[in-house]
Amino acid sequence: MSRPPFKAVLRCRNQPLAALGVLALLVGLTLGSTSATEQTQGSVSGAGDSKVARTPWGDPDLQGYWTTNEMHGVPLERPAALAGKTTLTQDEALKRREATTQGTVTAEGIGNYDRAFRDTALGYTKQRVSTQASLIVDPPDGRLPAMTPEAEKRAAAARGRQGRRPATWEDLGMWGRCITRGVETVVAPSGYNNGVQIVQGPGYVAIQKEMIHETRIVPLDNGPAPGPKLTAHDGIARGRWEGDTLVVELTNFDGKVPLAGAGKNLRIVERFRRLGADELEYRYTVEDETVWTRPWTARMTMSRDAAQYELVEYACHEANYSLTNNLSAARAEEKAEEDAKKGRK
Amino acid sequence: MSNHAKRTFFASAASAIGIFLIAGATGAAQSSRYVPPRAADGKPDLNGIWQAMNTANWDLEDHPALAGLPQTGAIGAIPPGQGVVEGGEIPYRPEALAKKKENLQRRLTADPEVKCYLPGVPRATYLPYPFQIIQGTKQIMIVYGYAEANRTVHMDKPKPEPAPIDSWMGRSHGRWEGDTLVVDAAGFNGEAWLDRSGNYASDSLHVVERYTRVGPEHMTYEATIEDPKVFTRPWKISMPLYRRLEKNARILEFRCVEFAEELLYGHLRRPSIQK
Repeated sequence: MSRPPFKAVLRCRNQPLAALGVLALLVGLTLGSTSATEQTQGSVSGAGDSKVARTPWGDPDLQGYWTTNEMHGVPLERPAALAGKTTLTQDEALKRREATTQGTVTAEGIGNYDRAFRDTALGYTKQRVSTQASLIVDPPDGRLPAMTPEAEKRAAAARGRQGRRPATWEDLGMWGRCITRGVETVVAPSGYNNGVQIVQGPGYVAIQKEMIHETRIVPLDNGPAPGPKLTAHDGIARGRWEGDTLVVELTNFDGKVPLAGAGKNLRIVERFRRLGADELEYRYTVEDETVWTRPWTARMTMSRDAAQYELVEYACHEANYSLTNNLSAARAEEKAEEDAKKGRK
Repeated sequence: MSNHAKRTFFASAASAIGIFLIAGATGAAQSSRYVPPRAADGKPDLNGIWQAMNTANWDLEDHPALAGLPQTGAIGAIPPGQGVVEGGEIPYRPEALAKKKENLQRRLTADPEVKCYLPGVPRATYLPYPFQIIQGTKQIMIVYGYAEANRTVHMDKPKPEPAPIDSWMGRSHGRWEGDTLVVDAAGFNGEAWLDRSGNYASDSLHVVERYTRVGPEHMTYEATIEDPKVFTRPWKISMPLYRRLEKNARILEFRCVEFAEELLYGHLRRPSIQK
């Protein structure tokens, strides 16, 4: 796959950023692939289900702790090997997830986190597995649409910056710096802490991503977007109910947290819908005509296991030793190179 | 009337009068007490965007105006304020008071707020940022404007459960006492401060907060702070919280990590890179 990894991936606590390359590759693979049309994947689908649980004030009830672990290993774009296929068999899906869970553990040692870190290996969350060939379900080939020529140029430049020795913290990415996990309200799962907590009050829905404890508050009055001078990394959300589906529009991005190469002109429309007592569907449609020639849509499902899963504070920045360690290692390497040069003179 | 009957009659009459008096007194008290609008479950509705309007985050105790950093002039100066501590002073143990004074000396580098660290409880409440209460059916979520901080108040546990792990924001359990939301918070990691003046607590901190609506746009916030490692007795703060009335009020992103990185990692920048 020729596209760059879109996000730096790392755990903020105690992890060597040296593993960043490997992890980024892993996530690049995870994020970088596609599928096609509607994939319901063993779900009870159907719009406007009157049996959907409701809050006492009458809104569809989406509350609880959910996890996206079932999507672990599902790539953003459909790999070439799966061309023409929108779903895997259950067996293939299990193998795919196991390969992702196993990660970079080899006979020679651990390239990154071993199984003990991976939620999918811990067994305390539901072991449902998604058979989607890719997160992208539209375009139907499951791949990102063609980029505009200008966007191609920017992507190439970004690829050139990958893996450079960090001069400052700004080279270590928004996730590595514990600033945000990504602009989507629910991001593709990584090895651990894939929880999502939803709490509703009249007129508002709060959705928390476990990693970096980011909480999106969605007002449901569907009011106008703020003016263009008010921007935010993760955009500004406005929501409404369409039948039993929560529709969230995200605009006013500042462009500092790219999504697959798109930034400031991003517009994301998200849809949350209950598929059953313990399953939630999340779809998001991404538009940015300065980057892609057409919009694209990704889909994830989430499961609930109220008896076992709870969000525990993910205080990322407060213990971000990896950032200090990576920068000090980079400076030490530079000093050693400098000394070696002097020695040669 | 037999003696027994007399006793019973007078006892009943006395009880009736007593009940009448109590009822009368309660009625009088209730007529002056604000009756808040109800959430769907009949409990007081605390939903909304709220904010403290005081200088408690500068110093919980009485404090005069003070200069800030010279380069920030009057913008960075410390506004004066009257304390929010009941009885005026925080009852430190002697050795803890020494630590508080040391914190104050080092505040420009040691205050967790300078570093954009999570604020802990009760400090999150009176930081100079709004926060939003989302009153769910089994949980109340409080989302603070500062640093993406938030708390889940568990309303569906009959008894507070031990925290699975110590944390900055602790673990919170809520219950209703009449029209007051009482939140029991414990399981703290002892890293948070209580204000910018070095007031602090340890990992033995236990906070009991009381949120009571006293008007359409006001709440009273009280917090009883108990920490035997640091204080000689439990002590209490109280302050009003005000509803943000702007039609378009919302909690906006204040991801302050970026504002603290120069302070935290500036010494590790490649020397040839310009600031």
